[in-house]
Amino acid sequence: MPNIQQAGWIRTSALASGSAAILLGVLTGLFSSTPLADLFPGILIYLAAVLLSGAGYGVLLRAEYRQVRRLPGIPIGLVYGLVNWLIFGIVIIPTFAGQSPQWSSEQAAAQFSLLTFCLTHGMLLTAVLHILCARGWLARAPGVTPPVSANAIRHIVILGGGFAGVTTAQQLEQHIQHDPSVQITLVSKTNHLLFTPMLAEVTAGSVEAQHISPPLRAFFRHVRVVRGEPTLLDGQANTVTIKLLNGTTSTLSFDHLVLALGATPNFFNNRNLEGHAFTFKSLVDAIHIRHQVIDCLERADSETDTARRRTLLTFVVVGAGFAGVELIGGLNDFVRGSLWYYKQIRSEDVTLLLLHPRDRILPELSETLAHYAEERMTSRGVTIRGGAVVTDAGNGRVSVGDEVISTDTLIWTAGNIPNPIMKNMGLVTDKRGAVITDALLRLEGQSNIWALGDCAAVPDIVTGKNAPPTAQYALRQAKTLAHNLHAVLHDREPKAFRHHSQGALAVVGHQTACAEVFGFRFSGLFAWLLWRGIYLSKLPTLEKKTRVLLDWIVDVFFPRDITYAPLYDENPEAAASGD
Amino acid sequence: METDLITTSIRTDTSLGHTLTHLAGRTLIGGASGLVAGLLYAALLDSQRMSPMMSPTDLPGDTFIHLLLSIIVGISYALVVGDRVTTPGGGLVSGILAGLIWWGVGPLTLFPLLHGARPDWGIAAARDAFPLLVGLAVTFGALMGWLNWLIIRIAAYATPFTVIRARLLDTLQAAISGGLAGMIGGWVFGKWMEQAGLFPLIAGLVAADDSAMGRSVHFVISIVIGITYGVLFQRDVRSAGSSIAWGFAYGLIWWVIGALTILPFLLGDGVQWSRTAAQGSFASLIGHLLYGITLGLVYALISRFWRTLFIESDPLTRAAEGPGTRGLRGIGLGAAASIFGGLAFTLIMLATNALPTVASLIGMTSVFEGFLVHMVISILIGASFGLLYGRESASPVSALGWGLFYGIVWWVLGPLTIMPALLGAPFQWSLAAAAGAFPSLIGHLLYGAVLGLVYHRLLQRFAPPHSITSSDSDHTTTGLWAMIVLLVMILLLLSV
Repeated sequence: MPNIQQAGWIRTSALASGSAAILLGVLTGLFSSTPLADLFPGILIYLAAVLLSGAGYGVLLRAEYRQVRRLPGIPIGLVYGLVNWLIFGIVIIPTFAGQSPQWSSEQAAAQFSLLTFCLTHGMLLTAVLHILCARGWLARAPGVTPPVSANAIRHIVILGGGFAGVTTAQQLEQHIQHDPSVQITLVSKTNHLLFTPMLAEVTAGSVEAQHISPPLRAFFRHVRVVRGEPTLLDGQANTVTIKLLNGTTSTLSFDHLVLALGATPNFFNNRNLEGHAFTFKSLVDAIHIRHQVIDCLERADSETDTARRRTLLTFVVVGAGFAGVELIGGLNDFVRGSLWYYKQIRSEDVTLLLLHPRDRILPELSETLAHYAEERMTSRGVTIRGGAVVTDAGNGRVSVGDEVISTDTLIWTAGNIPNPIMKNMGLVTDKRGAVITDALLRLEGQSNIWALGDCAAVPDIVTGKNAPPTAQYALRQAKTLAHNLHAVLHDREPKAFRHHSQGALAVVGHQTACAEVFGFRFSGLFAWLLWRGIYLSKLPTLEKKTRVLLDWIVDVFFPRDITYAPLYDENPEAAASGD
Repeated sequence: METDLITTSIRTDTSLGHTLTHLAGRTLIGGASGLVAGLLYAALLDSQRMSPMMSPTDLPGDTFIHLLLSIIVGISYALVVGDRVTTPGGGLVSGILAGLIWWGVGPLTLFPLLHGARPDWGIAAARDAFPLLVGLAVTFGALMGWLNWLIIRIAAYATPFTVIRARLLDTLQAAISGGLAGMIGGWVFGKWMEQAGLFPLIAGLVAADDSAMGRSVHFVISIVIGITYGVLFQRDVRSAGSSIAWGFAYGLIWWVIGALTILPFLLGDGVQWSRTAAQGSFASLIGHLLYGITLGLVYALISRFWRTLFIESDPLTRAAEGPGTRGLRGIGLGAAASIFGGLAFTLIMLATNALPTVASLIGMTSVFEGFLVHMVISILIGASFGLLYGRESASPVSALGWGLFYGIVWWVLGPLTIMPALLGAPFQWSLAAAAGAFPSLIGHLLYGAVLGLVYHRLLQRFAPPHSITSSDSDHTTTGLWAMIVLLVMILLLLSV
């Protein structure tokens, strides 16, 4: 629907069209001559046609009218005249006259006078509009609002640069379009959006890290992106304090605040685990794990001590949800596929161990698919141990109850908690630490603070439970939230969040996946192709899609890259000497 | 640089004295351009024993009135668009557009009033005024627009030597690219000329009558026209899509200058601007259009290839998106939009029972198979539209204009040229074939309009905001005048 400014512009275009047509008719006496008189049986129909045509012109150009210098000139008027001739002369008028459309050259030639009329009318229409705009008369036309004053600007601040925050900002930008009275600021710790479904592929070396993380600034035209972390929220003053990259703080005032702060790994307050395990949440995590694995292989290749060698070649992943399963499946392919380079390491020397406390892996999928995944992964060399609760960790070891497993590589994917910053900001949370919202995604007791995604407990009116903390739900919540914000800004009713799960997919090894889509179950190669097709289509920006697709093609024809490029140098002197 | 300085000085100095001086200068330049162009136009019409005022009798005052009106048209042109024309090609083309408008205002409206009659915009009156359309658009208008540009450039001449040297190098590169493109365009056009046995006629230009000489002359002319295209339009060509439009327009110009004016003049037949002569030369018109399309496309490919590899790849000047992203997205969105355009076109194909003919392309005969073939072709053409016009379709009306233009291009390429060739028949460039394919022309226009509008809508929906930059509609759509002129001419030539 056009907004009020656009409606003013469309009315003005229709009036300009009518003026141009009347001027033309009076000047040339065309309306009293044939065949125009035959084509337009009555002045009212004639006026209705030209007003309709002018309104159509206004609709087409509604985004252009703000800048007079960009208004189309005479050639565009001619083009529009031609379109009018095609619509009215060839189709509509003959149809109303009870004839078939005038397709043939003879029939079309008979409409030549109308063609001349339409072309002239198109030119006059553009000329009249130019005069109206250049003289500033359009600015005083009914319905056109004056420029927005600074006090009238409403500021929406979105905290969090993950799926939820970025999609909310994108959707809001689409809703608001050119409305200068609304400003949007997105606060994010990173400068990119991480496409988490492909994070395991980065660790496994089949996709480059940058290719699954498009920069945030590539998404927006009007949204301001601020790098930093929120530290303090003042709900009374409607301000939020941001710690910026340079260590200083900045206070942002808001009219509406959106919390999309995501989740962090949950170590269940076990400091040893937190201190010794790799996390798997960010791009840096994925790169760290990859480097760790390559480093272990390098060291093991020249290690003569058997026990130490076994420790280096044991890779333990804790947690058998999507993240843990996809990670160990990818790592298994990467490690065993790279052994060709390491002549001293045999495949049976390597242990990839998946530990989880339940009776089966992938609780998000059906039992049959979980069994299939377990069987496929085991056959490819992954050791899976259910009912295993990791209790402690230290240098080169991890404890599962009384058992101690020697490993230098412990990766933790066994659970997440909503971002603890929210507790620090004094917000009311549930026992998991998620802020509680109503079905409209608004915080309970707040009129202008909203939340979504992994950091929020959002009631799902379809299931009656809270929505699960997945990317799929976060994206849907973002669309609802953007709609609601736009509605509230325009004094309309917000709508409740409602979503039916579309299913889930997980890759468990080379060209093997499990998928449950709209209740249908798939496994093996087809599911893997489905996984790649769906996630490639969902990966933001065409550039990144192309790069990932190229990565996948390269991966078919060339071995995985085992280049070890440390993010920080453990031995500066050696690095300086080039050793 | 020079242009920018002039424009800036015009915009920044807003004192009344400066404005009056500027207007006086433009009035003088416009009047002089109109006068010179009017003299040439009158002389050429006189050689055909026609009056520029369409008087039933040759009145002595007619020439004076015509020259006065020419001066007024020249002044109007200079005041309305003179400052906005910054390239020789732009001057040429906008002048032709002014000539077309003046044909509607003068011969069809004002002259009857001067003769005491009512304005007549009917087909019969337009047919009678056909020679004036040819003359006003391509001699009077083109010359006036080009002279206007030239005089303004000379008057403002203060270009440093380094800039001149850089421009000369650019011009040399444009001439080479244009020459190559002209050669390839000439090869395409030559296919029909060979089929029609016209090479001996062309050889008559150098007092010979053998095909080999005719072929050589044809290629020399094609290359020379290509070189002039490069030189005239080098600063107008932005992408392959708009270059096709400029080439299309240039082909139309050379049909009038070459086939209707210079060739018959050199062969001793005088200028041939009559409707009958134009009808006799209809196949040549299609050939010139095809030459222009090829010229524009190849020139842009050569020029863009160079720019893409060595200029636009520079990180300091690179656009936010590379050509790869833009191109792939254009292909995808164009293909998606073309489904709607193809479905719209299907309505006309069903009404005219054309689908079985389309099915015969794959040796089938049914309507359904024809529909499938038609949709596949529609999608391929739509994908190419996205690739060629993706950057030019930032506003809905420019997308609509380019869609319409691309529709008419494919009418020339499809039912008149490629489809007969695929069915094993010779090129269908006759008046009768074009009249038979007229419903297809309406269908192509409808297809193009829907394609352009839906493409723009999809672009707004799926392209990142920063990648959509509104283009200067005047600049990019000026080339579309050729579509209007061609449609008017086709209607006049095809009607009985």
